[in-house]
Amino acid sequence: MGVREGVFLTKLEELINWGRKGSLWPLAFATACCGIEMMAAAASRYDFDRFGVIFRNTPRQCDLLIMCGTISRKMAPIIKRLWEQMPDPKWAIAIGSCAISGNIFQTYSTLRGLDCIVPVDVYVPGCAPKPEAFYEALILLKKKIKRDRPIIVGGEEECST
Amino acid sequence: MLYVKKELLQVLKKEFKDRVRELPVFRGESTVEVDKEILLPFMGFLKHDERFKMDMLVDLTAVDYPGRKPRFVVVYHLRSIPLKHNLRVKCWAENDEVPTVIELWRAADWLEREVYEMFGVRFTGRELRKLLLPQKYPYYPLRKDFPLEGKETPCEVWDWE
Repeated sequence: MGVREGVFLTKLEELINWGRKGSLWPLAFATACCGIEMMAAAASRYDFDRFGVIFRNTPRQCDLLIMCGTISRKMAPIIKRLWEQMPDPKWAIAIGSCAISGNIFQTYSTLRGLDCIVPVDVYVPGCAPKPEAFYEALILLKKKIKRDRPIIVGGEEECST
Repeated sequence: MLYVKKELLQVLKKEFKDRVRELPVFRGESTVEVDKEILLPFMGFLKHDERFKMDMLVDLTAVDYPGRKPRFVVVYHLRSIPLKHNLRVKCWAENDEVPTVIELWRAADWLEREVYEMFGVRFTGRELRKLLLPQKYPYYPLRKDFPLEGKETPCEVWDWE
């Protein structure tokens, strides 16, 4: 690989992964208090934008679901629909104990974690996690996307772990 | 918070005889228990009488006594804004039914719907729909014999109607 006269040689997979991890657009959506930390992480002090993370207001323009907060059973079908409305490729991050396991809310009305309805890529523990933890999650997700194999000739798209 | 004075409770006893019973005063909070048959005239008297003027329904809830018959007592918290005094009224729900007070206080609308969905106490003389739970939900979650985790996870029941 090298740059000479405006020519840059790389593998197509690496180019695709580079593009995907450089422009993660999450859905501006939160269900509980972890959403406040997400706002803090997105605001100027911590600044999500420098990672290429720009919040979108419709799931059809998103490829990342940052699930912040407790999920009630009444909300679960809506979150599932939002997830299904997001175009592939898409990723999900579960922020906080509630989105991981339901936390202390082991009740009839609370879902025991986001992974009951959506496949989750990164779990971030905390109640609520600090904005730094959001960055840890983003960096982990970027590493994961980098390992991804978007093009495999004669095979399905592989979802590496 | 100022509750109604002894003299006013005597007025109630004089007006409704033995159908109104005075319950022990706890920390200055006076409570009366009233028969279901005279609940509506009693509440109307409290609202319109010059000495009471209970123009605000602060809260309407119920208490579950498992094994007792009747099982539920419906509790009304009343306040008079012009006279600045409060009163708590209890009424045993025979056959799990109590007449509605929606004609006296519009605030009773959602409160009665919530008591209905949580305890299964039916309020007669009004349209009854569950407030937050799905209409098809078969249990009453605030009853003492309902397990906190719920009896099952009926995901399809939680779908939006």
